[in-house]
Amino acid sequence: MNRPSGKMELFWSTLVAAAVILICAVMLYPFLFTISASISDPDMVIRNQVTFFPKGPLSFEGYKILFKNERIWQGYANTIFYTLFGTGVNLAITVLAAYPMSRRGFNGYKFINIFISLTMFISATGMMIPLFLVVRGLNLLDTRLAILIVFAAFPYYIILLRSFFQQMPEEMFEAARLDGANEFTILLKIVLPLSGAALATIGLYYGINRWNGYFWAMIFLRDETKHPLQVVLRELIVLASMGEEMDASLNRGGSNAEVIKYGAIVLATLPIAVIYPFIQKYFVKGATLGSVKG
Amino acid sequence: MTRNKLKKKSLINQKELWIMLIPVLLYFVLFKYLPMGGVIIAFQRYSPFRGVAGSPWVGFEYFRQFFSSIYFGRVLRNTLMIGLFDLAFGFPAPIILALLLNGIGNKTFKKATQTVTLLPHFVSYVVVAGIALNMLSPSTGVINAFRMKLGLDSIYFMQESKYFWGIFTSLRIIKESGFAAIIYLAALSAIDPTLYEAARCDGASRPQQLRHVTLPGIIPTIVIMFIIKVGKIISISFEQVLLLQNDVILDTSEVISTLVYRRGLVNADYSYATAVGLFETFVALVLVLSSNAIARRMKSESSLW
Repeated sequence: MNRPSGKMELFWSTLVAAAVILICAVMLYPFLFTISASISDPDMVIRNQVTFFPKGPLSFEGYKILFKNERIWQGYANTIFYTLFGTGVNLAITVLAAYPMSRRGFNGYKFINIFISLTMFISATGMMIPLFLVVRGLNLLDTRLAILIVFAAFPYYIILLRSFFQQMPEEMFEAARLDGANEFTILLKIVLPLSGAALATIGLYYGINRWNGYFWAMIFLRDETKHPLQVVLRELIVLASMGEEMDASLNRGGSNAEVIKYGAIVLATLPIAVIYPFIQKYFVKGATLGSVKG
Repeated sequence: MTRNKLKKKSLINQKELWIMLIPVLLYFVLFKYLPMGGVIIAFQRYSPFRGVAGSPWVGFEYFRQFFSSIYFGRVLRNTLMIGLFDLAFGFPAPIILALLLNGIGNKTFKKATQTVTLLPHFVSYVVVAGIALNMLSPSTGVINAFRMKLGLDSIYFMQESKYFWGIFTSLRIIKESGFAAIIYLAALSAIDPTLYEAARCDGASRPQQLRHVTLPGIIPTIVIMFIIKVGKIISISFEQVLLLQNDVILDTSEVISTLVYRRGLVNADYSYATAVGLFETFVALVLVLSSNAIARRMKSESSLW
């Protein structure tokens, strides 16, 4: 038999491993660099001496200034608020839409299905101005409520959850109804307790979206005290890098400015990096769940 | 069977289900359908004080204005080019990544590397843009530090138009490849392992296994994903472009959606911006619907194989 030789096999395995390690390095390097820069000596950072690991005496100058900065903390608090309550709103609307749609014999299925799915095909760009005008017309500009309810649900996740609910055994529902349970009781007492993993997966997607969102918060909120962290970050890092805007409240200037930017990136990413290993499993599950069925 | 269905029908309480749907309907009407109706201001000289009812009608004036302006050709080119870059480089990247990850024998190593490649997807675009702008900076950027060490000149990456498409696409690849690879990994894991066994017995080398077992196994997925991607070619996220854009490089970085943002939300030219947005919506809708139709047809065909 002409089985492939062990030597060739080893060669290919090594090649694959090397390529994967290289890709991982490219993806991790920006994070390593950012962390290193954030705790390096500010003068070393500004003289462009930091490439891999922290240079000079470890310095937490940037973090000290950041910790004293009110906007950062305010932004943090706001983001946590928007993420918690926003995800709550997302899940509530998603469940309330998915449950009736999943019930066999529901007479509005066809209508609701088209009513919800149709909105998936309309591009966000086209709706940008009209949506803004609607929010302004409803007097929701500059309110936290706008952030919570304007993006209350994504049709795609409603459809996902509907499919999940549909897979539950019909006999269970019949038995509950014979026992006199109404639809609200069935949803709260039977369906939701059985949907932990599905709700966690969908909630995770909504949650990440809430945590990372900046655009609409920037459009809807003029009051700085309501800004989420990403909007604060954008002003601090992106606009400052482009020289468009300087945040006077940070009394930056001098060599600290660079270190502050890196520190802010670390602070904003840290919570996600910490919980990431625990939620990765659900994340992968969610990604395949949707696309295979789609 | 039908009687059984009828019994079930009578059992569920329609009214209660409709009550549940009230907040859902309210949400979709207010924030999805009302804006859809709101696009009629593209045909008006909309004034916020007069509202939709009181603003004068102008027909296609704003469309004509857009089509005859210098922006039209420019934003259309940029939108298409960024989309094509994404298709040419961003589409194959996750496939290659998935094939590489799949080629790893060691389970722990495979899991660890997948964790790393998935990580950037979790990070916000604000952070990604922030890191990138810092790393690409001419004075304090690490990329230029490397170039200096090699004796090369430092480059003002974000000040020169010619780099924008490349930078934007590279960042998207780094951020999203790991996530996009999941679907291909799922397809790869569905390939029957006995096929590899048989191929090895026949003396197939790793590249031959790739060609004759692995690729045929995931080609249906690749084709479907490609068709879907083509449908989205002009729908570029303004949130991503906006973060990397600056006034100096607008000639290559202005896309349809950022033009809508700039004219509509920054300059308050509501009607003009809505007309531009409506144009994008129309083209995007045609693309998405046709690509979805093709993908669906392919899917039902592929299930026959």
